[in-house]
Amino acid sequence: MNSTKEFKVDIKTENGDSNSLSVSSRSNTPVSDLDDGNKESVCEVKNLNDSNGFKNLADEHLSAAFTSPRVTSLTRDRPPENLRPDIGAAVPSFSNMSYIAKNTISKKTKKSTNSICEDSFDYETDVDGTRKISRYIFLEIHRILRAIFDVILKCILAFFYCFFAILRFFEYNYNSMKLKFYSLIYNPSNSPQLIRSDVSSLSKIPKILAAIVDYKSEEEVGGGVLGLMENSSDIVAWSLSAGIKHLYLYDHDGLLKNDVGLLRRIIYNNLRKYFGPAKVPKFAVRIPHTNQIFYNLPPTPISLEYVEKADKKISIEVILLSKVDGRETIVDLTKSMAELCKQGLLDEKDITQDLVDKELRKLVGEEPDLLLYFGPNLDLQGFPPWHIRLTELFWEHDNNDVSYTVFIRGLKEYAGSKVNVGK
Amino acid sequence: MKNSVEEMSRASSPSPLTSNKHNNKIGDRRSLEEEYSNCSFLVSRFIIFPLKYMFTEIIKSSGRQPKHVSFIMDGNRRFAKNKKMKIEKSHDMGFLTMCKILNLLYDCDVKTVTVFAFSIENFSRSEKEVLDLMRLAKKRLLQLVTNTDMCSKFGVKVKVVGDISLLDEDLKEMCYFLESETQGNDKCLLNVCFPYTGRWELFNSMKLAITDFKNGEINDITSDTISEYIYNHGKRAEGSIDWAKKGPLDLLVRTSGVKRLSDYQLWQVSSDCSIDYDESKGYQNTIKFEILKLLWPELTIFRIIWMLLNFCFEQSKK
Repeated sequence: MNSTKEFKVDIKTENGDSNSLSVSSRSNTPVSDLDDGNKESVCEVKNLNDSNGFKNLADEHLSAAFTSPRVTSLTRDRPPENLRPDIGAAVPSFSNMSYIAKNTISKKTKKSTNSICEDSFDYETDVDGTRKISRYIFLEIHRILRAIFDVILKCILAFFYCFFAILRFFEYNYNSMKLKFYSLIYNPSNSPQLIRSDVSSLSKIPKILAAIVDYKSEEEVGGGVLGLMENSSDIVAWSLSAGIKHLYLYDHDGLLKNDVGLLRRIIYNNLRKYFGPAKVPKFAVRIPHTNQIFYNLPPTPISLEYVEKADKKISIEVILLSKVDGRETIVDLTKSMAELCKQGLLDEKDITQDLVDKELRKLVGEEPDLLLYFGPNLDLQGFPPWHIRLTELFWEHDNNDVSYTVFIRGLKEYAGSKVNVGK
Repeated sequence: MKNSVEEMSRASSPSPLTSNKHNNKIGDRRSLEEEYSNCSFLVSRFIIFPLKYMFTEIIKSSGRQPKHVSFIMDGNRRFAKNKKMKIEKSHDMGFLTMCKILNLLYDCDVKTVTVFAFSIENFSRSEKEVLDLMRLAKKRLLQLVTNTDMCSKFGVKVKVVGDISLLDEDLKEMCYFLESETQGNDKCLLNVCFPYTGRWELFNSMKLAITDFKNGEINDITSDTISEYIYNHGKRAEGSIDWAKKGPLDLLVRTSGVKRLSDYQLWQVSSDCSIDYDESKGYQNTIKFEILKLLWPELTIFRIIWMLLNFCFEQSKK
């Protein structure tokens, strides 16, 4: 920002000089043009800085993951891009009512003075002076009436907003009560037997499950990267107990991917808590973007011999996705195909929908059957668009926790739904 | 198989455009309204009209109305089953609902409306069913063709989005007629998704981007490029209007309570916050999902008004 200011000042002085020299060359447009260009360049520099910062952060995380995973490595210098406003600020209350009313009434609309009559009466064609004046007065009156009408509309709008605020308050409380009630019914228990008994009554369960988890700020309960990982490990344990073989975990910024070692350790600990230390199920963590698969725990000097022998029979496959697997992957695929076409290595006729489908399956994975979102309002946040074709979406209104209630209710909803393609 | 379908459908109605000239009752919206409206003239004239006018003015004055609304019109056949009426009749009523809602939305200054009329997957049904569906589709398109008065009133440009090559000659002709009739309008846009799937749309724009890249018309492919191709129906922005900038998807409405996208607008829905940053609004554009438990013909304009007001309210908090 400093550079822009300096630049502006320079230009102004230059302009001032030129003004003093010759009055005729008063041109404002080139100044603004230059200014705009400068702003753009500044923005670009800023973006570059941002991406560098993020890369550095990722490098730090990765290096920390490979050398020695310490909790101190998780202290974040800056929040991720997609930091959501915490639910505390969004909780509706009566206190912001006056603010809403003021805000709606004081906000100006663009076309408040433009009356309808102006188009229908063109009084310039009229020659008679008196009639012209009367018509002018008529138009003025109409304009005033229109302004009054606008004010009335604004008042009604403010009234509606207040009404909605009240309604929202009750809705929020009702929804959170409902969730609490449900959480009493589906008592969250750390035993896979109970989860299995919940699931066994369902007619079908999804083969592939996807879950979108949100990063919460560190001050909250279950916030920060550690909280995110613990939540994810909970989902892994639940889906393993329910008998789901493949699980997508999506977080927008790819925080789960940054420290896979820690994630694996947390998942292992959680599974040990659920299934007992004697028979911890085997799992694999796959990252499609970098094409890596990790089995079970990260190697330590003691268990190194076991890892080499470790059989690759696994009970659950956890696939980590982030923003880069969504639109970016499709764009990259398009780009690479376009370049191949340009070089003549790929015929344009060979590009079919099946080919794209096959490639995207290879790059990201199969289409999930059910997508759970653990947030208040469904926001796909750039989840791979090709893969949500017939996916059942599930979210609970005004829920902000990764809770077993949402999980089991999602499964129940999926069991009750029937897919009939095209019918 | 396809040939026989074409022949039979041709035999049923000689040519859609000629039958249009003979003032066929099928397509006339007013006659439909008379047939299906259950409230009297006085009520509609002195209660519903002023109320509707007031609400549209209120929504307009808020300045937060959605720019792009999109509908999945689900539940026509279930409605017919529940009410024990003919499927064709329920489709007529569904069409009438659509007309009313479109009128309301364009009154409220919504720039783009997209409706999902027909999926490519529907072709996988039995031959007889496909034939019935094509006849129905023909009727519906005819209704749209005859009701172009709405388009001229609001300046709506109609665009048929989808794989038109799957249709027979008559339907193709009708699609072209509809598009050419409204080509000059540029205030609003109506996308009719007719043999459409989201994957097809995405694939199509990918392929067009590849062709343009090969011919050297574009130097780089970014996600904005693909968005541009999708929102402008497989072409780059033509002339002065870039529909991608005029309105990325804001509000998606699905009736009949199913929480699924059913291969509809996949690319638009999974918008990444950083890409769809809307400068005119000054915040990140997120899509609101409205899943209604109603069936499509049961949907009334007051439900839509309620939804729009709620949308405005939620936007105003940001």
